[in-house]
Amino acid sequence: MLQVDSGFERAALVDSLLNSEQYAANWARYWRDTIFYRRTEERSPIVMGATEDYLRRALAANRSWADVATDFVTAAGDGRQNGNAGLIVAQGGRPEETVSEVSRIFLGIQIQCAQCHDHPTDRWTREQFHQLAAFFPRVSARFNQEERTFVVSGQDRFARVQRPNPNRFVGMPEHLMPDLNEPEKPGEAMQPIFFVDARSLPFGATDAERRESLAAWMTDPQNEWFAKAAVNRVWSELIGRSFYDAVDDIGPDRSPISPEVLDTLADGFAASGYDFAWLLRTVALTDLYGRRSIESSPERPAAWIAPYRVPLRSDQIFDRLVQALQVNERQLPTVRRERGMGPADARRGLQTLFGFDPSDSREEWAESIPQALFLMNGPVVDGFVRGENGLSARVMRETDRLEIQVDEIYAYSLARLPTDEERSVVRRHLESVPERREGLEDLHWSLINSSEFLHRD
Amino acid sequence: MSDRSFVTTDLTPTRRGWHRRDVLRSAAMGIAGAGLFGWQATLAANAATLRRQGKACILLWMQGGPSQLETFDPKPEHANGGETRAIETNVSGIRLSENLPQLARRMDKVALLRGMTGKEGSHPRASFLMHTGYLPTAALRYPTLGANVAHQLGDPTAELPSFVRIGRGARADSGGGYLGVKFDPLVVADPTTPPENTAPTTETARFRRRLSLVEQLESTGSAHPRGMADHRELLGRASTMILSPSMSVFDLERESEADREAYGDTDFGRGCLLARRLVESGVTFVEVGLGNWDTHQDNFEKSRELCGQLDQPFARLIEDLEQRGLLESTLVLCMGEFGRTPKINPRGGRDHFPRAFSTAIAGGGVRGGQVIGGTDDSGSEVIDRPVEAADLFRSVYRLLGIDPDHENMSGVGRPIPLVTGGEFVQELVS
Repeated sequence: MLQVDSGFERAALVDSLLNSEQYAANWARYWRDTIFYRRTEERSPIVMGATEDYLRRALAANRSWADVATDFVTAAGDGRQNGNAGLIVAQGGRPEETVSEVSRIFLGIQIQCAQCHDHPTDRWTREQFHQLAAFFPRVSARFNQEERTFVVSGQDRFARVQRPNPNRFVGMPEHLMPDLNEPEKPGEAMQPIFFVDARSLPFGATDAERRESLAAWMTDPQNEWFAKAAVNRVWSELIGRSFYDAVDDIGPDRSPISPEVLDTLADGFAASGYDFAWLLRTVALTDLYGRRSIESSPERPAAWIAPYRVPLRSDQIFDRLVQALQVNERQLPTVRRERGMGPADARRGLQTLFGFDPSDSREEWAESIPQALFLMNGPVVDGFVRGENGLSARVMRETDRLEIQVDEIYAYSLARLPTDEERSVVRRHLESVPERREGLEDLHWSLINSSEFLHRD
Repeated sequence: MSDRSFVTTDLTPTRRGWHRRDVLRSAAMGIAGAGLFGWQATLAANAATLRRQGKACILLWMQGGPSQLETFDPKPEHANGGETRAIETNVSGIRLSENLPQLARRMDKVALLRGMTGKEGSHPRASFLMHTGYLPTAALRYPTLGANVAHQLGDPTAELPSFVRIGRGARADSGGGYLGVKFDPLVVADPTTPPENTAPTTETARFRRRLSLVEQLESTGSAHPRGMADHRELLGRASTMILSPSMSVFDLERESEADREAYGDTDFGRGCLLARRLVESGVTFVEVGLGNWDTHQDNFEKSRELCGQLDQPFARLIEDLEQRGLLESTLVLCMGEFGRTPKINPRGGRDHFPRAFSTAIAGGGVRGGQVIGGTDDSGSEVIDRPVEAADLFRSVYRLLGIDPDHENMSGVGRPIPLVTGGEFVQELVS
């Protein structure tokens, strides 16, 4: 099933793409969104740029995915300097939320369902959830108003009397599991025990011991879920559907589609030393990935016939727009400014309209009316479609030949040439309008407003 | 291929009664009948049919957490009350802060919940709670109140969106949640200009020509028929909306000068006027934001100024809805994320205080002229009829005729009720 195409050209192309800046930028944004779309600390986006930079550097240097995960779990310091603090900051340093996200993102296991009661469908108990939270009680993420940043720290010295603090400006020596019958009481102290393999630390362990141990146990090749979570996500991004129903809800009580493919990739990924680019390259070189996409439908069970058509993420649409309009990123006007999101450049602005949580199933994606209106009538598109600044006018200044003009508009807009049928539709359209430029502008506009523009076909 | 396929022409009756398009259509046909009844009368007759059917809700969102002591629960007899005096209202025995003189004259339409209580003292978390009825979690994105109401009551085939949010103070990230982007609000940042990107950049004929070209080009490749069909439908809905005469609802210039003046010369006032216009046109939920209630310093001066922005539009909105026969079917909620500390801080400010605060509710079947719950003399404890977020949300849904226990499938495949726990605040209707 997993035939690797040995064609030299494709392999060379994949390699050159993996060596490009866009590869690191694209996946850095993917993981940034994975972390920040589930933020429970609304001010955390102020460190988002730093987290993206950290990820971009880590991916460009092809650091082991285990080291990246370790960095996120053991982070400390100013979140705007140390981008790997982003995950903890996104959850305001609260231990329950932080460990839920560590588990969901790096292990693909949604243990947080066991926060208040034993997991309804999986084996995890409420104790196990709070034992996991016990790796993080000494961590805090304090908002620094003057510097407009969050500072993550772990402390090992405590005042004699501690009270649980919902704002988590200070850590606690041990994690307390609330008594559901008596929520006013402080709760029961929990020992740090890793739910996957029951390895544990004693009460009183230092913050560093706790978080370093958790990172080491999580990324231990003995723990299959670390590799599987990453494989499942990469596969889902490239092939359009994950091995499991969700990219972030896997684990021993879920059954994957074609486990042999998943196992092969997960074993290879672990054996490579969690080399993220190896994983990308391996999936990208499959025969499957090279085929033309098909639509997934709820009726059809997932089978790996061809990649599924997927909606592009906001950053990908932005890159496509820059390409289609043939502009420099900085030439684009801002879309709008959102509260607490920092200055909205055009890319960030687009995210407020087109962004979605990459952990969500793409099956549930739906285009919205404001998105359609932005592409139809917004100044960004219109400014570079119509008039002297428009792509049509620019293309017409380069060449008089209609066929080349049409080809260029297609190539810039959709990264392909028109089919014969499309050519005849375009020809008829151009004949029906008084001026060629107007007709070409209409074509350009229509391609940007097509369904294909928003998808990877 | 003609561009007509972008314009849906169904005439189906909907949950909210007759389709708005029918109203416009019959209004258009009414040109013939206008000789008999006149254009306005024809339109009004149809609008009246709509009104009887549909419930609507307007949320006046006081971002930052208004001081209950300077608004709905003054304490002039206690040191905590500070310099704010209380004034009589048109309901004997109920007093409001002197900052709300016009609302005081409409008190008979308003119910005050003075026993609001909660635990969340951080803006984002409390604001999330008071928009969704739930605390934020990483696992689930809860839909905001407007999205849930639009989902339950909105007309999915209507030209105008069911959920509109007005003003810049509104939160960016509270939209459709797991209900999907379909239930995100249409945002009107500035009530004096139409919502973003709703005006075609070319003349209508060319706009339609372009839409037709999209369709013709997409018809040539059939690899993704479902995606193409969805996209075509969406372009159809979007273009129908922006080319529709109903878009004129966003044009406040269509109100008489007297009507505009009645709402006052502020953004919030214009937002409230727009909210009334939208509800009148069948929009289900409108949120209007008024910001900067976070009065850590100079609380009294700032509260007075903000109340000056709130008072006239709020009072006028109630009066206007009533005069148009819309108050019974339109629930008006005025609230923020929490209250403020009764004790005045050294900077003359008040800090965050979720333990005891107030909200105001009018219309939608609520019995006005009453106070539900209350605080002690110092304003620091709720001593009567505490109401938490879940109670409030349960009550709001009930008042709108929505089952609060209705469950939606969340993204993680778990059914989530609109409200978990809480009790209906029976006093609101009895």
